[in-house]
Amino acid sequence: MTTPERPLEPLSDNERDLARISRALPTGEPSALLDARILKAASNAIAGSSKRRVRWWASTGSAWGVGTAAAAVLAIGISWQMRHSNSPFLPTEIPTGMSEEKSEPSNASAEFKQETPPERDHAPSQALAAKTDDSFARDAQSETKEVTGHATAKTIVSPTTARATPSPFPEAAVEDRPTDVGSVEASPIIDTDLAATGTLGKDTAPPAKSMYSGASEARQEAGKKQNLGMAATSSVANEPAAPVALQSGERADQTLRMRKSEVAPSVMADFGDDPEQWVKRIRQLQQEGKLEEAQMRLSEFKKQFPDYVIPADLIALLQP
Amino acid sequence: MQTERTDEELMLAYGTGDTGAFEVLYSRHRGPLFRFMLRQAREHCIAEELFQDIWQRVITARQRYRPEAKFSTWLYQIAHNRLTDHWRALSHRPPAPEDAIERAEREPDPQTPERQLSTFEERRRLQLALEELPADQRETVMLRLDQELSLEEIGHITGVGRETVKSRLRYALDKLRQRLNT
Repeated sequence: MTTPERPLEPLSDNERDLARISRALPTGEPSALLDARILKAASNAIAGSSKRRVRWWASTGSAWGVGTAAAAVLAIGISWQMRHSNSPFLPTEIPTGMSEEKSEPSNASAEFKQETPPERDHAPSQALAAKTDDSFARDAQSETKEVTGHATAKTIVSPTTARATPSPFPEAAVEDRPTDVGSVEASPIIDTDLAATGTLGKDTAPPAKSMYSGASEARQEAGKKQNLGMAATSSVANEPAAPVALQSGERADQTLRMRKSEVAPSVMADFGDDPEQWVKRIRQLQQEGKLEEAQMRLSEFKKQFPDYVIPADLIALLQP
Repeated sequence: MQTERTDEELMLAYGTGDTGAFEVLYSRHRGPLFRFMLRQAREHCIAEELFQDIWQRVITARQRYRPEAKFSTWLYQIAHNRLTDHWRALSHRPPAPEDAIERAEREPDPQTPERQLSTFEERRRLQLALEELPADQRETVMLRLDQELSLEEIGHITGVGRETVKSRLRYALDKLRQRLNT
């Protein structure tokens, strides 16, 4: 009935006696119907498993086909996306006008110097801001190119131009951009600064930093130098006027226009552009006894014509 | 002379698709297993239901079967688990019916008529004693007396250690002997 093996632990006498009685108990047997049901289930399980194996193999083909097609579509879609997106920074993210900028292998400071002259004749306007934005973009490109070595404008421009896009330059243009100082229609802020401290560059230096934040150090240094140079030439009574080194013709004109903006229009109308005329008028004031006015005009004269040697008879006016 | 295949060989053969091996295996164990379930469940219909469930589990697990232990151990382990599920579903073991002895007597008795009177009293007492045993002791003693399984095998089936099986068996045998001698 069971396995042919002998039990490992044979029954004791007591157990054998009880086993005899137990086996004599009405044992009961499973009904024939129950036997048939169990045997039929066993045979059906074998038959069903073989059918399932066939069904599974038959369905794998279609399943594999669907899966392969889905994978192929996915791969095609991914490759198409990668082909049409050239860089991590999508062109749409780059502000208009900047995405088309191409990187220029130029020195940042040199670029800056080239930037400033065209702006001296223009009032701080949106056009100026836009132009400066372009210059800033070019600066950013060159800076980034120096750092990353990449040449694609889109890649370079995106992070920095995004910041510059809201055009911080209008504010900077009004307050601190050195190039704006040369314009005729100077902002009251500049005039106030001049009146208070007389040192334009001093006030503009710190904001220049924010203006050029993110730019290269070379460009910042160039800006600072320009500011300092301008500060030196524009200093008033507290600081002796140091002769400014001769610059290029364009720079001199820019300086001249900047000086003119510091003098009241009425004075300019009275004294004119001729330094000889200025000297003559100052002497006249001195002879008339209007020493204070003469001193004032002499200081203005120095600003206007820093290279002009002051006559000996007027030097006394310089002394307090 | 062809040696008779062991239970393990038959089960492995059935796992590969030999339904004839299952028939042999079933014929070997149907009786003892049914008696075992009848003793535990007390109700014939419940015993048949549990009996069918047990063999269905054997059929389902035919491909996972590994002859790491005896087939009978594995079979009664399934039976034990099925009984446990049954008692858990019932939340308690129903008390012995009042006509339990009469029900047991209705079962076909293979014994000769000459001995029915003397043996009747023995069986009646043993039947009552078995009814009074706790379920775990009854299961243990039935596996031991009917299947002649070792203590270790009973421990594998019921999920307890050998010493626990030994303890249960000792208590059960003492009660049965005491009941028979009264």
